[in-house]
Amino acid sequence: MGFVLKFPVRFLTSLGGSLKASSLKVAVSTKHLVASPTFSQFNYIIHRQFSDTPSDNSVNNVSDLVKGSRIVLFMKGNPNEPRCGFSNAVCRILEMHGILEKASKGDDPELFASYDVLENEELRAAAKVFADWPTFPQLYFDGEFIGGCDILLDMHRSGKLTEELERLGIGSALAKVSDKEKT
Amino acid sequence: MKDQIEQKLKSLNPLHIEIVDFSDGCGLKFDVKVVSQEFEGKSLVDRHRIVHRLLEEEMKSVHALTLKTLAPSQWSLKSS
Repeated sequence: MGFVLKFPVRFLTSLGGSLKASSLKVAVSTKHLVASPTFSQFNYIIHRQFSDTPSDNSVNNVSDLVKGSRIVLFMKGNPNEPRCGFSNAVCRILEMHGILEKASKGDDPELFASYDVLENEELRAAAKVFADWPTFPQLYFDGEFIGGCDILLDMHRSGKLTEELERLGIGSALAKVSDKEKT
Repeated sequence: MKDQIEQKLKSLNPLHIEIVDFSDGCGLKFDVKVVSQEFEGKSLVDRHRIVHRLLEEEMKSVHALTLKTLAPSQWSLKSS
């Protein structure tokens, strides 16, 4: 399995003078790691080559990633070892809703995937373009961009996140708690 | 930097701006609250994108930016 990521020329001009103004073509092979039962993660091995052909395929590859699992999180670190407070906050929210526990059981291998943008600069850059969102974490449900840390906190506090997870059929541990309280 | 952010946000004709600088060893960090009619009828994601575009230059040096984007109707409810 491999991806080819290509970045628009304008990206390269902002990466520094050492790179000429051509698109950067990156062949990425992936292997599936289950470093802990909590989450699944892909590691990337990058084989770079430069190409004079500009292309905007990079965002298409991020599109494939966000459709590969029902919940996709681009973050700094991983749910077990978050490397930034905002990425940690989102993981803890997902944990409260029971998502990480469900993912660890492995009944639905396509439930959740997280990608560490600190491990892959090209992925980091492409994800920003794809979401039109300059920061991490970035969260997707069923291929739709939901938002970053602020928005997820807002949704969690207002109860909208529980509603959304229930509506999508993913379910939320907090919904069950809420239902019990009603009886 | 805080003044630059405030200046940029004024193009939204905000009813209210609040900018808190909580920078630390990791770098520049700001907590920003904006109340503007521009946000009426827009999703949270789109509201934040509006602010991201205005602060595109500042975002390059800011380590963390947390946002609250409220429409006037929401703000009056929260204040009362």
